[in-house]
Amino acid sequence: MDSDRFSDSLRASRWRDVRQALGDTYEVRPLYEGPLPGLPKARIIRLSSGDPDSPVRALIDAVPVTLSRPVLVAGRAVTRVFTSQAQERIAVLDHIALRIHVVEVDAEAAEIPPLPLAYGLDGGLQLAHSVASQEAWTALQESVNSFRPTFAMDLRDGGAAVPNAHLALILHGLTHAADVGVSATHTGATEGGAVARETRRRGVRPYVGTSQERATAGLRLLPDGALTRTTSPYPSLSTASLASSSAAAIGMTALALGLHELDRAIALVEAVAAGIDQSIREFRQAAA
Amino acid sequence: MIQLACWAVPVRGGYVLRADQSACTAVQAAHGRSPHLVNWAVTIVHPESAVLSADRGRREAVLAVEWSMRRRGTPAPEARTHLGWVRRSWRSLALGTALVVISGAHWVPALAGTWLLAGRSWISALLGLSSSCPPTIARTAVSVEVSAAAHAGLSQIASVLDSNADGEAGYGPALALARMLGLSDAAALYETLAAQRDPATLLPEIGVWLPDTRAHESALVANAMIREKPAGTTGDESPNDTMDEFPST
Repeated sequence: MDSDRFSDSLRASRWRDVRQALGDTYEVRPLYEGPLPGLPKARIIRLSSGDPDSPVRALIDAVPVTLSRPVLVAGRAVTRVFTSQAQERIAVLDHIALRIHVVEVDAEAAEIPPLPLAYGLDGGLQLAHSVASQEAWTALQESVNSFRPTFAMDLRDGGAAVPNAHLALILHGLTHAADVGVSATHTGATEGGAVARETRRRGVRPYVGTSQERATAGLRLLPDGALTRTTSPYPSLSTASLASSSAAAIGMTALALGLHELDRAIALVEAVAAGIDQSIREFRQAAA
Repeated sequence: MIQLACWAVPVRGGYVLRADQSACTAVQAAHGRSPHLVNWAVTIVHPESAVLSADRGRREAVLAVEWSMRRRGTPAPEARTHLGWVRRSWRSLALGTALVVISGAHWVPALAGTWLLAGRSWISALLGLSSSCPPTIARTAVSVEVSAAAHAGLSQIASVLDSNADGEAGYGPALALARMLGLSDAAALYETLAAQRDPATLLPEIGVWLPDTRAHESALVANAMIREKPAGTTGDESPNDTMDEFPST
């Protein structure tokens, strides 16, 4: 993705073209239609594809508490990727069940206001939650509970919290995170580390912050550069944490940080690629 | 246990949940406490007439509190380095050194100097009085209890809104009353709503929208109808796109 493609993805006309072709790859279902924060009219849709009986079930959620252009573009890019007829992408959908939640906006997406200034990991985490609207959240909950994902990833834009582009991968559902340093046998710690390694291999730097930043944000550092919440008092604040608590999925939030929106969108797309890659590996291990 | 208040400010069609400004102050007051002692008790403060329970507004209240506590608009905390420690403690270091130098053979000033140079920080660390964790560690709540309580001032505001149900006067009377009652969070919200009339589109930094029960139920029914009978399709069995397009912009 480059800046031209980023701008192109924001155009309503471009999205309409993509949208018309989605039906060939996905089952498209509306989840919510109405106002969202900052958006007088919006629609949340659910896209399902792949093998519905696959034991490996990946859920990608691009419905944040405040929609921003990088999340919108990343959601659209991920959606578009699987409509391609390339053999490797068709092969991916042969192996897994895939569900994506995205927001459709009734306007030129370029008009979405930029996020307010944030500083540090804690400021970025303000934007890590899912949509606040009760009706929209109820619909997302139903989607998670009916899909029963084994892997769930929230795509979230943390804004310009740090100057250089980074990705913070935050795992949910590790109940006693204090023990993680001693033993990495907790569900999700190994897989989260694998996703973090793969993301780094794809050129996106992981953001782990300083120890003080992590303490402020309520996070702990795992091996390989992933993070985890130190406590999880209320899991129903984001789709990935809900999937982790209700479906025992490996739930993680991909929080993109950096000065430039394009870099943040790229980081989110790479996080999805790494997550899907990990899911495929999981499928092969299960098959073996 | 940190007691936090979340205002359920009455607006037309529902409420806007907004964490009290003191939430951050409460967290700072928890400076130095061990994280495992920190629980939250969030009280949703609502008008007496409201059909609003703790269960109904639980997620929105926690979201509002989380949002207000996260650090935005202020620089990230400075990393603790030796240089930073020297910068913070230079007065104690200078006085301690001076006392040791001028003490001669007298043990009282020498002991006082040693205390200032090393003993104070060592004892503080031993007793946990100066935690290496920042005060905002209280954000990592280990449990959250949500309750609801009626507030007389919000009830008066709700009455004013009810008496002007057609909305001709906007939120002006509610704003005036909120100011008179000293409800600064409610007043700030009404000021925003003067320019942006739809509370459902408010950004989280202003507040989290919660429709009232009747409006909520009708919206749920409408959404269920959208899901069950999408335009131009027969329902769940269709593998194709089941949505009509947004109108062209």
